[in-house]
Amino acid sequence: MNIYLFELKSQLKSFLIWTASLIAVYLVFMTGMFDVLMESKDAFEKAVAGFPPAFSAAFGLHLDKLFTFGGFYAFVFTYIALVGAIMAVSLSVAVFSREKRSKCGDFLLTKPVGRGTVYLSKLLAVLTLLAAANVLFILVSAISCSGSAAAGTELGRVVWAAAALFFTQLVFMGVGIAYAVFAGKVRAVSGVATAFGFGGFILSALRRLLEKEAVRFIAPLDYFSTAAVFETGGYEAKYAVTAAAVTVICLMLSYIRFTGSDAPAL
Amino acid sequence: MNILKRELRAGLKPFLLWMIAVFTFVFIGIIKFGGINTGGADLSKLLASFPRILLAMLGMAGVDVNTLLGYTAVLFYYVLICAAIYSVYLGAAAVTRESVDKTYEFIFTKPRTRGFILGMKLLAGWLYLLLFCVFSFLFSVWSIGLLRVAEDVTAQVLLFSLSLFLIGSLFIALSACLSALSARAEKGALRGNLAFLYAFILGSVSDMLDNAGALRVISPLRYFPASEIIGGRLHGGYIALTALLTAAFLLIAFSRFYKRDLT
Repeated sequence: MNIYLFELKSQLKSFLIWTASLIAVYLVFMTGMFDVLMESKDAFEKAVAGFPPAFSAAFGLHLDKLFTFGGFYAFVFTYIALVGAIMAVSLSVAVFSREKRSKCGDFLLTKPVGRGTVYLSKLLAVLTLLAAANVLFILVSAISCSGSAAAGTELGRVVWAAAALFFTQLVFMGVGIAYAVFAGKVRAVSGVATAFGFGGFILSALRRLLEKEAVRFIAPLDYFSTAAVFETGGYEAKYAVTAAAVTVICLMLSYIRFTGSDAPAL
Repeated sequence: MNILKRELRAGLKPFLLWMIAVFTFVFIGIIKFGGINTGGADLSKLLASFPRILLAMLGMAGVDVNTLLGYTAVLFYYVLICAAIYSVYLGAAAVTRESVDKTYEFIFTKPRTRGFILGMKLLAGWLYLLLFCVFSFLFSVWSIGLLRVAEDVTAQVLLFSLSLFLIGSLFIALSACLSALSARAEKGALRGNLAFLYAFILGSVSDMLDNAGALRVISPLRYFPASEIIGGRLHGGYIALTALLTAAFLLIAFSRFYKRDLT
């Protein structure tokens, strides 16, 4: 419990900043930019009307749906998820590499709690922070979509789409924890988080350029497609399973490593 | 010379990892170019009718992705993101690695001034950035060669790589400067990465505007936009600005490094 509370407290500031940025990015895209885009809807539709239907799926864009709330949401989700991914990696690496960075691993291990407990307390702390951020995020999405822009969108689907962020963050949390536990040295959390976040972003961009479905298995920002949520009301099973597998494997491997590795002599 | 050798050895592993990632990305990206090139001129027309905001978010503002050059330009924007993140790391590592590892006492007992030590560390970083750009250039030219197209884009790829080096240099200097100004090593790296994030956001915003105007001066990732490089030139004024800013940041970094407390 002490470890859990300590980690919560030490990540509080970074948690607040990240949650605020997430919500700000969401509002900029889904209220500000969406309105600007809707103004060019008619002109765009006129221009596109002459093109054969095959083009409408270029770059993974569904042009016919782009000017709906759901279509645009799916389009900008990569950017929202990018912020979410950096946040998830930075929180989990910060929590799990704390002793490595301040070279006090031996201190923590003298406490009368098992290593498994230490690991679980830390994991629970990260999960709590991510869950709290996402409750706020889902609330903001649900409230803001009752505005004019999203009129006619089912509330349940908006909530599921917003929840895609949480699941994406869980994947990055798993990867971040695995990195923090397995890396020999963690010098700067921010560098790791930026690299992982933009790594995911570039993989998603690659998927868009290649238009190959297979690439999606290695593009974690696209595991939970909001486009599918707005069409069918759920996520695509095979990618959701991939995401779950990646997360569970990362967590299991890091648990084994965390509970079984030598304490560094300092 | 010993310091330089040591630094080069310490930086080898991250460099190799970055190079593998960039190579894979460039190779897969370019080799699949044919896949997108199905619609002929029509796709270009379709893209031209897209609202600017959408193109910007696809990373395709101001370029015709249906041509080999435009496509390469889009890929290179992502390589530029990698180069900038790597440069932030290089600059921060040059200033703070010893203080994170708590080995400053050791290196400062050597018969060298602090300026010399920092200079050697930064030089090692710059050599890696140079190699990063040279290899990105070679990978791309080689991958494009595999496509067996008649078009010769080597000159433009060279310019793209040169712009990587210029912007990378700016980020090394900026990140070194921010790290030297920060009391705690971790803060320095954080500020460097935040600076990159700001640059990324500013770059995206200036892409969304039809005429970025003054915004271009403060968005380093857009100092050398693809449209100008495809036209076969790097903007002279922005080369000068990059050089000037790099020199200024380095000056601050060095003067601050001399007086820095060892913590």
